[in-house]
Amino acid sequence: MVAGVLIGVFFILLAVSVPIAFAMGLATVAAIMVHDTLPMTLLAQRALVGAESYALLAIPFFILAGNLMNGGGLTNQIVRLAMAFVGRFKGGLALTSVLAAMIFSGLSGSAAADASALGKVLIPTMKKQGYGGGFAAALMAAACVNGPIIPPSIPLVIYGLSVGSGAPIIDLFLGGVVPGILLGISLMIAAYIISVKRNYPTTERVPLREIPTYIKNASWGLLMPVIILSGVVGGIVTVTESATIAVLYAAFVGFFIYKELKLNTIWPILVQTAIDTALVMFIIAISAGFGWLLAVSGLPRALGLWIASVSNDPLIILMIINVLLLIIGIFMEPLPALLILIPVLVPVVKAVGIDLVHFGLVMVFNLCIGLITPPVGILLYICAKFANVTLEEESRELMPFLIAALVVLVIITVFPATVLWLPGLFR
Amino acid sequence: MKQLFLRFCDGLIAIAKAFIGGCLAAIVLITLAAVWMRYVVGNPLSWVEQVSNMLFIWIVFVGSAILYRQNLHIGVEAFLLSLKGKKQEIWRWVIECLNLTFIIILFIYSTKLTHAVWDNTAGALDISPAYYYISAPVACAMMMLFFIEKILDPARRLPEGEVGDF
Repeated sequence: MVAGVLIGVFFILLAVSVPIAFAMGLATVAAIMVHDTLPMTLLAQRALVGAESYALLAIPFFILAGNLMNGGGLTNQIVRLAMAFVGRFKGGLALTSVLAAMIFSGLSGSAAADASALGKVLIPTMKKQGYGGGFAAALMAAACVNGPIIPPSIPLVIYGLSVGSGAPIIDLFLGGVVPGILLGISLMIAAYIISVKRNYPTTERVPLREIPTYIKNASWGLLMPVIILSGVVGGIVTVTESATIAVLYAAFVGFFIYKELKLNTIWPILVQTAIDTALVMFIIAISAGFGWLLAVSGLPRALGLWIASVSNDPLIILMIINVLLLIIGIFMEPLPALLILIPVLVPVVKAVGIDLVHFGLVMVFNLCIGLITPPVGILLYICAKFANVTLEEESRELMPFLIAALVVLVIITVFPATVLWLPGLFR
Repeated sequence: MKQLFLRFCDGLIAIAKAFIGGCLAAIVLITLAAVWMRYVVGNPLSWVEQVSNMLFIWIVFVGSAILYRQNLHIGVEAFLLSLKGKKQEIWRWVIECLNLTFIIILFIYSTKLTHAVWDNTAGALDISPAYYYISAPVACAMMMLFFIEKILDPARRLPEGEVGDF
């Protein structure tokens, strides 16, 4: 009953365009009202406790580090480096976009930030070189799905914190590396095949001996993920602390290397970061009561029993969950979907012995594919704007890249080693 | 009177933005100081976590009031956008009233909660959790003011600025 009211009210309100946080809050209010004993103060208490976590501070720090590094200087160096590697092939600029997005994913934890920074530069250039606008936009959008897969990643931080023990954030970060590379490769293959068919151009061939110079020029950016990961992997600092070090590093690079940051530009970046943080965190805070009610409602148990009645093979269960998540991802952003589904799904997968780090990557990867599915795929909107094409034109070009992403999803689902191998090396 | 109220809201939002920007700057600085003290000096600061958490909660709630005023809280807008003209405007107000319902409920119960914990103390600084909790009623009160502002000023009913998405 409680679960029915909670989910029913939430989805109805969401469907009629009530903002996510308020829809969750009202659904929580309704569910507390139908419950016999729960007090309404639970709503406020859970919301406040939900936002009170030292580890969650990693979120504003990663956003801030990304915003500080987001100046044009580094973006250009990264694009040049990517081009030096893959520009020589057919469809060089398309391949460059995918590789640049992979590198950029190591700087920020947000797909939308990557799409804004890279799309602005690469989509108009692709169009100038004769690539279709729809193709350029669709490819860039798909390439930026890597943002939350390759570390650092805000969705993975949230997953790790929601699950608690069993899914350390650092293992999730390391676990995202191989799936991220696989996604990059599979998108490049798709882009290459299309480029050969349509005879898209190559870019200037950079002699191999010059590549170290390009690496050196972009090294300030390339070092960022290394800095974030190495301190935590070594057990020296926590994720939150390593995120502040990333902020310090980004500020240093912005001030002294690329000289794009000035004291008077820092302030607007701080305010914008605080507002960006509030957007995510308000949803997280309000979802705390929602998730708690869902967890005590018995729904996870009921769902677990149902899934157990279908199969107890972990692979089949993961496939069922994948289909469910893909459908939900079409309608919902990854973040609220994660917050709602973690309390329901994690007990189920735990019960059949699926590794929670593996499941975290499958879940985040799956929901992030929703970033490029119409009608609510945020990356599609950002990239369509830069390409000056309609969503329809962009969506027509999307299919090969969507398939490429789905193939990787199946691979990481079927072979847990793709996720677990790298974290295993550092244990 | 109306102009005065609108000017008041403008001033409030400017203060709120300066406040959360300042809170974030403070969190970054004290966390860096904490890392320095713990790993370099070898003398960890006990109060860092509690102070950071408190500032963070204020950022979240005051920031959400700013987002409310600028109409930037995210949702699935397909249904709203499918309505045309007058119908869309009416539906916008239905959504606003639903939002307001939640804001009022959260205001009442977060005020009660703040009141209930007023005399308790906790954490390294031994201060009352009310210092955290009161951020919620403050933010709700701001949102209620901004609701009135939306009624008075049509310019406040549309999204203003952009916000990152994850």
